[in-house]
Amino acid sequence: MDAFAILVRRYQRPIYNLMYRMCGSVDLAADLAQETFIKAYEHLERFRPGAKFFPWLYAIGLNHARDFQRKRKPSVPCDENSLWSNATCSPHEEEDRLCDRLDNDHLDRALGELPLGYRGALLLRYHEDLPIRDVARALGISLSAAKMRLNRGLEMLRQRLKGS
Amino acid sequence: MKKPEDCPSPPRRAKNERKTQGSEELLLLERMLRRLPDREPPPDLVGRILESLAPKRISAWRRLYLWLHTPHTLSISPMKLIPAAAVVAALVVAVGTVIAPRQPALRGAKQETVKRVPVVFTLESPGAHTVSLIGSFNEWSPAGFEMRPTAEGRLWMLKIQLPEGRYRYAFLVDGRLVVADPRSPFVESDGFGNRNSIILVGGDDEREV
Repeated sequence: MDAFAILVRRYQRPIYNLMYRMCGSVDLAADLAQETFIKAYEHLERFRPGAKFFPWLYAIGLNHARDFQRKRKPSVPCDENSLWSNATCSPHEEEDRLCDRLDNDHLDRALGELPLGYRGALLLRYHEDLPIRDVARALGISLSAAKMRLNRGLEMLRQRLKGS
Repeated sequence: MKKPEDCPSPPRRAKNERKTQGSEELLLLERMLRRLPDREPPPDLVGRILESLAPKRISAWRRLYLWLHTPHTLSISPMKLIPAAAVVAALVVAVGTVIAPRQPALRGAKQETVKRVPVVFTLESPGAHTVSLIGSFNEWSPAGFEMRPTAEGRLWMLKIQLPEGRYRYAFLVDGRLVVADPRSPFVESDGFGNRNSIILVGGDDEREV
């Protein structure tokens, strides 16, 4: 339990944000993140000792988000205060923040339109900065399939942003 | 004179330019994905998760095993303590007068006491707002183990007393980022792909980490 408590502290942020990007609601995201950690805890004996915990946990989170989306079609509307409206970190100067927010808003929407597998792959690789090997492990696919998914995901994202 | 392939035809040049532009756009997308801002999780999320983990069903034997291996805190009011103290005192007298004389070898034995050693933990984290010390000595709970910044604000420090022994620890920065001690030469995997630092506490001198 001690070891698991520290894992919860360590990974609550990426799992919560993954869920928020999947459902667009702060309350639901907290519930889904909580359920993800509970599932991980209940299946802890299936975790291979010595392996990286985060890809394993993220895979559980993605599956849980997939189940949630399946049950909750059509998708849940976004919160009125968007994810970006009170984001806590921005690397840019004050005058660039509005442009950034708009860019991020477009990107977030385009990301939300991608199939879950592509969305998860892109977030894991670029946002969470995981090696492709770990992305493949989290998604349960081969290394080459992960590379292909990332390339296609980026291309799909580009096409959607151009179309928006 | 240039070869024909050095001077691409206009359609081919346009195709190359489109390809370059496409690659640049993909690189830009990668950068944007990297810096997508995150939302802060609710402050009570960790508590909620840990509370909901407690009812996990485990066998009675396993529960007993865990109870025996977990440190417990006893809180006793003085009034309730008096009868218990009387019983203990009676037992001590009984042992001292009846049992102890029959075992002369035990009389000379030294009474062991838990020796506590002052240990100073430090972490250089100039941008941090809060830093706490978590480890196997406080059940990985940051409450009451908040570190104090030095005057310059670069170094965070906490002095605690620890019984002799071997402990695993890490620092909790801004309530969310768990980092191992970069100055500790001893690290140990937590079995989940992360690393905790190790400290061996012993001797009479104050330790600085």
